[in-house]
Amino acid sequence: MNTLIQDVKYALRTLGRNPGFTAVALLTLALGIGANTAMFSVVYGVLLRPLPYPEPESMIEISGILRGRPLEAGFTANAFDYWKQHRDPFESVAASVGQGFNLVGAGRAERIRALRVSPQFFQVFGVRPILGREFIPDDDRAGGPDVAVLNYSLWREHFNGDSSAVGRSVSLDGVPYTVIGVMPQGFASNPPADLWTTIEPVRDSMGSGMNYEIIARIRPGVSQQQASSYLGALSQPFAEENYSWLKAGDRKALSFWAAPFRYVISSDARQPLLVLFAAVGFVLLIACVNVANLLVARTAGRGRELALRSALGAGRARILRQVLTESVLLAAFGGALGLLVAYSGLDYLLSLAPDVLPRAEHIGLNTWALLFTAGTALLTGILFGIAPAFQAAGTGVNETLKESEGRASLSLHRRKLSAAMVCAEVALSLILLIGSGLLIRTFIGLLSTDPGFNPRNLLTLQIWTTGSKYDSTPALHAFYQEVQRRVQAIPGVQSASIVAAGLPLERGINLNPGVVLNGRVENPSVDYREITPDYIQTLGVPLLAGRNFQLADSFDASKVTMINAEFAREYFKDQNPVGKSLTLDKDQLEIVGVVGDVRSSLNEPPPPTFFVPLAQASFKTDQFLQAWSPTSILVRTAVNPLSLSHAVQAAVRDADPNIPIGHVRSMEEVLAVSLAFQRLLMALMSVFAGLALLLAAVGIYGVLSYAVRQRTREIGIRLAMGAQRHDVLRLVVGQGFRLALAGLIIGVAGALALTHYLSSLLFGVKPNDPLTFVAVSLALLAVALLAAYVPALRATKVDPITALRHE
Amino acid sequence: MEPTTQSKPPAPGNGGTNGHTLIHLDGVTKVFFTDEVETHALSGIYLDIRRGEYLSISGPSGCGKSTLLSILGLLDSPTDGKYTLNESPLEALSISDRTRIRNREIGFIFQAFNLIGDLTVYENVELPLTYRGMPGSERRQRVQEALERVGMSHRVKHYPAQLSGGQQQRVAVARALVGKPSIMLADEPTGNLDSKNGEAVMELLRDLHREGATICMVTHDPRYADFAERTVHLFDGRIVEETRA
Repeated sequence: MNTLIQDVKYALRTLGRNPGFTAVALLTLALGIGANTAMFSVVYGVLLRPLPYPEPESMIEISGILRGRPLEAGFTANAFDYWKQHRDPFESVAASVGQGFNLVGAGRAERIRALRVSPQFFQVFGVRPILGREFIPDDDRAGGPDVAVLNYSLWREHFNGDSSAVGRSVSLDGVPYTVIGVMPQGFASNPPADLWTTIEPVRDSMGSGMNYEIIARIRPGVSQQQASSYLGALSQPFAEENYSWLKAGDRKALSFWAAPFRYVISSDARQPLLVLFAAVGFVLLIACVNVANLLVARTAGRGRELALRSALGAGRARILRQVLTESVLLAAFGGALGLLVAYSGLDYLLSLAPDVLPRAEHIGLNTWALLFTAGTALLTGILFGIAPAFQAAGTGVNETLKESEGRASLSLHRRKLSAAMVCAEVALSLILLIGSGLLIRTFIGLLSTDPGFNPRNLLTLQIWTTGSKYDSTPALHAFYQEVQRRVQAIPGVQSASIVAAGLPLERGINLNPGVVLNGRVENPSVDYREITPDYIQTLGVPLLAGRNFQLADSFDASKVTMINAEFAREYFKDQNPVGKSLTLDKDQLEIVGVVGDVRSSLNEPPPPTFFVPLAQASFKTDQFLQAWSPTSILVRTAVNPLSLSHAVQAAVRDADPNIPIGHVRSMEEVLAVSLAFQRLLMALMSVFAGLALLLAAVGIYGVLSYAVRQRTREIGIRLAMGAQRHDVLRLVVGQGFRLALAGLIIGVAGALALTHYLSSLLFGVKPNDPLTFVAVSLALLAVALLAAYVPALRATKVDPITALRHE
Repeated sequence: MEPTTQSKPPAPGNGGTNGHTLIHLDGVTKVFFTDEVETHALSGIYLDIRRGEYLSISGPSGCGKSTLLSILGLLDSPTDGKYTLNESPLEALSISDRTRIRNREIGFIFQAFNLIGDLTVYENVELPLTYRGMPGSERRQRVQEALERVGMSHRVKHYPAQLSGGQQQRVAVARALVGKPSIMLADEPTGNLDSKNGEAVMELLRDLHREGATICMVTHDPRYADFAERTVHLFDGRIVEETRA
């Protein structure tokens, strides 16, 4: 113990005596460890933190996989029946489907998030209401009572936390629902909801028999793998029974498994976060290599001291420990500073990602993050300390003591080690820079992708008319016309229109209209929008053929539709679609026009889409669609669109105060949100790559600076032999160039092997994009040469006389 | 040996620049300024070195021998005075020109050999020629000749660390003569050698001189000073005595 304290004291003194070295090493480590701690906090909060439910590891979601990819289609009510009957490994099984409601109270309408759920829903979560009861099978049947369980916040807001709320009613879409329970504070289902009601009443209504998510709680003693095997074994009979619409080959390829609930919640974020975590790990590795290199150089300078210690009886292990103590101590201080970096870095990181990361509210520097930092610091200290420590312990006593002080230099072996470390740094940096370059190109590609409309000076806001006084298409349409009239009267408004079933750049509704293909009617799944005639003018979408909708396309007129160019290409090939027809339910819709494509997502091709006039849309369909996708008002303005936000909301309220309004945004904000994840990914990757580049540059600079010091005499000789200053410059920069080039070659090979992990995150650029590889390599080479230039310049100032006196 | 001149303007016939004079130093002084201390390393040196001459500079430690050699080798410049080489004044030359002249006109032999450890014997000898931009084939020939001349052509691929001190100094001599310089400056060339190797190196220098090389050697060993035709003795930065063999 005494010797350890002695080692620590000596290490502290040594670090204090070399403030320059200590500061550079600490800063390097603080950045490396800090970035890792911040990223770990995100990974922990999103991917690893246990879900806030009892025994969360028992919660699963039944998921389908088709040819290695998750099956996106939800389950049907019949599918849920199947799994209710085949539930051996499960204690409870439940289904849910999202639905929004208009909640009217206190004179103003409000849109709330609801989930329709089966009776065992809360049992799967293992959470019971704090007031009242959960659903029972008798609640969940066709013609059953309209009952609801409230979340804690809704109960507080609407019933002031009154325990007598149970038994009272709330008006949802104009229908009174009896409150039967209140869930505890902090409980959030997935997806989150303000209230829950029963699922069975919508089983047979259009569409609601689909899009079920099925969750279950595994029985005690049954593992997740066993549950998965059970589901896997039933995949074929289940698919045959429930996926008749799939091709036979696909049905055979379809398999089901018990996806851990934690995995399901964060599945979209998993790969990007792991990529970023790997990237930040690379940064730490580079930091370690940097500090190791500094230590190797410094240990070489301490050769005589260490040899003397050996001569005085210090064993190999003792010297090893002495040097390792110093590096671990350095890492500990670096870790402590890293926590400060992580603390501020985490705020920055989260500010980049508002509403992008799932469970973001759980991200923070907690005990796990502290343990991670401590562990990383210890590991880092050993990692970067081990090479110099062995180098120190292996110092030949006699030879070193015989060397003059000025000759203490890195042996060939050590120089090779040092050079190899710099190559590794350059290689790791290149991999990160290429990853970042690919993501930047993706982002630029997305930014330059034409969304199909002009997003500037466009205001959007959402409204919900479910449960309102408008009980028919003409009544609803009259309301929409009134809203349009009032909005258009606002100074600064150029045009206003209304679209139901989905806004551009957001996921909307798809339906299966009948199209005659190869002489027979098929029902492809295509996007569906209900619009007013002003829609294409307001968005700035071109009319490519035929005509736009008109006021004459009224409810009583013959049914018409427009399709987009992609629809025409896909289903009408070379034929002119105008004049042809689609079928929807039992209606025949004549195609009167073809409009330009509008994207639902910038990184996907525009989907085939068909439009119907809101004046002719089925009232039932419209109301049903609003359960998932609100109706939006689009306002083209001559001024900053957000400056008209209040006036437009007031106009809607003037038209009807009981219609809830939500999500008032400019279309540029919608665009920004649609790119938020890519922006976060690109920004973080760029920060990490920039850090890596900086550290690599510092590494090259450090090694060459040291090399110049070591080679002072050699440079003196060369100058004496007639080398010009530019010869010396070339000598040192050339050394840097060779190191960088070797690193680049290894880095390119590494990047070629690793960038395919980014494939799913890229758009418009291939993982082995030659332009990115070449441009990034050249940029890195330029930085490396710049880093080499400073010590090279110093080398040219070597005084040959002084250098040659170093004998 | 007979004493001849002291540190003063040369007597007619022994100084000034004429066809036989390679180097002419005229009142060269060197003062080092460190903090507030002025150190007069050389105080008015008047010296001629003729083509083909073998000159030795001797004197006690700190007398200015190495400073004088540095100035002669264009590694340093005088604080005052004139330095003429091959009838060309050198005081006003740029660093680049001084380097070029050093490369072409001067060959160095150091006490500590000063070979570059990472370069082979061949590469070390080739070094001055590479800075001259000489074509590869000519360089090869010159290096081969120089190494043969010093009896080291069988060690071309060796590194300095693999050679004895005497061998290293012979390589250094080869490096000094490979560029066919006007003068070879040797700074205590036997200082790091045992007597046997020291003798061998001195024999080598004498042979080179007999073949026409001009050599200026700093030494404090009287045995080796006698190899030279003429010896100038320095004391406190002045030439206090000059003797001829």
